[in-house]
Amino acid sequence: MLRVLLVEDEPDVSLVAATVLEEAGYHVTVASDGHEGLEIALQEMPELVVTDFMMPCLSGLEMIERLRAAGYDRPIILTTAIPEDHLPRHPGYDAYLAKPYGTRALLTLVEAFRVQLGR
Amino acid sequence: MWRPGRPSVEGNVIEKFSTGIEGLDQLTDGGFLRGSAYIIQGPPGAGKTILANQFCYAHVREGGRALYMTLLAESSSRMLAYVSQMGFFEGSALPDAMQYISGYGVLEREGLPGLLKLVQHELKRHRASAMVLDGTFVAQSVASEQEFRAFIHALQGVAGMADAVLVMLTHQNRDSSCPEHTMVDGWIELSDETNGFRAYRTIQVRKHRGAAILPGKHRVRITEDGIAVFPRAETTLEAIPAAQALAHRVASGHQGLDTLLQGGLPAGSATLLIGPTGAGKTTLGLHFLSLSTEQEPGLMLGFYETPARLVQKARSIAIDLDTPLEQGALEIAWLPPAENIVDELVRDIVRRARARKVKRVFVDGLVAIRDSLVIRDRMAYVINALSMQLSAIGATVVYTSEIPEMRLDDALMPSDELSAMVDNVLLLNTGRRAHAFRRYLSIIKLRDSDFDPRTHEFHVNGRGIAFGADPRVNASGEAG
Repeated sequence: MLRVLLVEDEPDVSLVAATVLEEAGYHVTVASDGHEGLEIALQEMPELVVTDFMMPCLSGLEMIERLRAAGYDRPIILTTAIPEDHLPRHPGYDAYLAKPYGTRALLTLVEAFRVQLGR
Repeated sequence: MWRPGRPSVEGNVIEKFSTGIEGLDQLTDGGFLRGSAYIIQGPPGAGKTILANQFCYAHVREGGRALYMTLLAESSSRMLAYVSQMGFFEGSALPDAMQYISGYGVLEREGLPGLLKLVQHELKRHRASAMVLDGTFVAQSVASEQEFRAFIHALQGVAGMADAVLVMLTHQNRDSSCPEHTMVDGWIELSDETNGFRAYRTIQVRKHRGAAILPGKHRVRITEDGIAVFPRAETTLEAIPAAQALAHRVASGHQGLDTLLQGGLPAGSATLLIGPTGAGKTTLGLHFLSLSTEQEPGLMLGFYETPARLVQKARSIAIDLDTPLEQGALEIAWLPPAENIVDELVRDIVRRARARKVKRVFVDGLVAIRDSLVIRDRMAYVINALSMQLSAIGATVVYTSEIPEMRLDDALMPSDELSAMVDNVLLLNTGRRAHAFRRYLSIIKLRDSDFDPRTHEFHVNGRGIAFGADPRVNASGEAG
């Protein structure tokens, strides 16, 4: 079972996304800000991270930067309402998902990484 | 980035941040005071979120940094998707100068103390000079009244320490005795109201510590460009510079009438042409506008006839509007007589007049203005305000207003309301006498001036208004 870390400060998005991923057979751990996400990611080393950008304590990009610096080399999906062309270049994430997103779009993207990871 | 605000006791000047809404800046005497906390209250759909976002983006445009924290369970990305469609949205502000985060999780886990720490931490982390806390009522729902009061007090302290503006949004309809209202520096209320079948939005600055406000309710419009606030025309009069005393007369556009007026309309005055339909009010107004020149530009606001139709009408009676229009000496504006916001209309007329240094203004159809007013008792105040503002820029104004046909021997004395509205009143009446439709003109009132007190018959021929009976009918009304 592919382990996914979902980092999201908006409770309704977090609830819906986690439920959908779990129903699709993924093992989901939830963090509600970048700081918590960083801790869990380094501790549990999930196969995939899905993270929001704008969050309290530590933003998604700051979290990604620290994860990459700590050697985390697995795929990361960044979800944000900010248009991708407004995001910094070489930000360390592997895919971008515009918010608000539909559950099908999320599942398709996560599924694509599952296939890529050979799981 | 900042504009000077009120001087403090020590003589310092407290910075003010524009709200990003011109009309709201007027209501608040320049905007939000730096280091202060405000409550914006209103029912769902009243425009709180738009107002707060508009403030944030305006603040960012001025060089500030803004943070929008929501305590609502709903996704702020949906809100952001909606806001991104609005004219004030500035995508490049994201994610550096403007950020959206949720405080819901922290509030749920750690209560008000945790939320307070989070606000403090995030203000510092983002170096924000403006912060919005959306859904303050959620914070109240997890605490006692006393805890909530302490929280608001502490939040105000946090805003002060961070030297930031903190704007709290709530949909709760709490009254003025509630502790949060007494503690915060400002309290603004947005409302959705109805009058019969009409629905309209209002805004009221209920409190703004240390600043003069324009009191009472003012109309609000929400469009794809955001919120627009229109201060009630009569409350903005203080800003009008004293009109120059203009002693000279302005030609009415009709020589015969100028004779009756003993030289024309007093410059800078407001004249009301009243009379039943078909009496010739618009025609007289067109005569007035036909004298528009580059030195004496004219402006017309009509409600019932389109500019093309008016020009055609003028042509048919040899009143030349084509020349001043071609020279740019005349502007004809037209608005359908729907549910206009009168204060917006007054603002626009004055702006247009000021921009072109207009000297002749003709507003055809005060009925359309009256019918747009939710509170019709405001009519005299509104027209008085408009006249004063136009007079201040040296414009002479002519209005028309329709009344039912009057019998010739009916006494018409200017009512208090009429007297308050205008300087001069001309009655253009109609009647059927001796089997013919006839028109009559009487001067009812002329500012500080003598005038011909007689009633004069006139008719409209191929060259506009002509005094005397229509030559096509003789005294007995038979075809001449």
